[in-house]
Amino acid sequence: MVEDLCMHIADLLENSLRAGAERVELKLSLERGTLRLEVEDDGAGMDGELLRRAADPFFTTKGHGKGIGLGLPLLLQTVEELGGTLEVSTRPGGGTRVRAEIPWHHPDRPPLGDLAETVVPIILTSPGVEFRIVLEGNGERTEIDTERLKEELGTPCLTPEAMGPLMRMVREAMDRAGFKEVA
Amino acid sequence: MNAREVARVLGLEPLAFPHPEAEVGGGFCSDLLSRAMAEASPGDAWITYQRHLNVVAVAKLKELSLVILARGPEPEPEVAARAEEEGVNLLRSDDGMFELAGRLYALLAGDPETHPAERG
Repeated sequence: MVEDLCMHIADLLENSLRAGAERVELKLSLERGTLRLEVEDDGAGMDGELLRRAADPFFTTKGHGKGIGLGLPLLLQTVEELGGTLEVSTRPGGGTRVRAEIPWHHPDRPPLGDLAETVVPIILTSPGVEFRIVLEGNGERTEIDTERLKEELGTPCLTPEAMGPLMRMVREAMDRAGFKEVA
Repeated sequence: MNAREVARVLGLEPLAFPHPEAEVGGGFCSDLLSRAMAEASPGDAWITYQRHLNVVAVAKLKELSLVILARGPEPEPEVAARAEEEGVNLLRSDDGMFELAGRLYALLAGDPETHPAERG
């Protein structure tokens, strides 16, 4: 188990970027006691063999000697230990979608962590990649789309000055969707 | 002190013991793999309740001297088999984490008075 669920989200987003994705969508929803976490990208995707090895904690695509690829195995462990589900849809050249369902009220569930602190720095350090964050819960749905944001701001890229406003947008959306540790 | 000696004094049962001569430099206790990845040092003995295969991968990644599974269920056979294959020392104990940590700490600090297995 890891310290917070945002570590899994960071791992999944990093995987998408490593796969050369130009569009990445992160969806989090909280309904009827289940947290649904989904990351979908248009990156390189995986064939069956690569997917099998991606679930092996001793395998890495990060290059020899640079560590062990633990992103998916750690998420799988969290899901298994909490009695949730994990589904990976992928094909070579066709992107990857990882979808996990986690019981929100399980006593061993790690805290969600700080989503804004996790995703905003990744967004701002990934020029050329468009992100869409969808947060759902409490009957509320918020979409934060970097392509649309840039159009509204009339700028070709998001600068470090966007850090504060983006963080606020994510935190306000989280509050509206009811992502509180104590429900 | 090497892993073989630690195993003897603490009465650990080997599940996979490919490197009994590995030097044990310190100890670490956590069931959070993320903390082990962040804080454990090479050569540490890691005491945990976790039985998942990821424990073996983290131990390999961090070059730990051994993993001690505290009192609890047997791990899946694949976990021990993979530890052997990956060169990770994996041992189990009937003692809980609290007692194991206390005894390992005393052992590494060189205090024979707190080693019940030694006194016998």
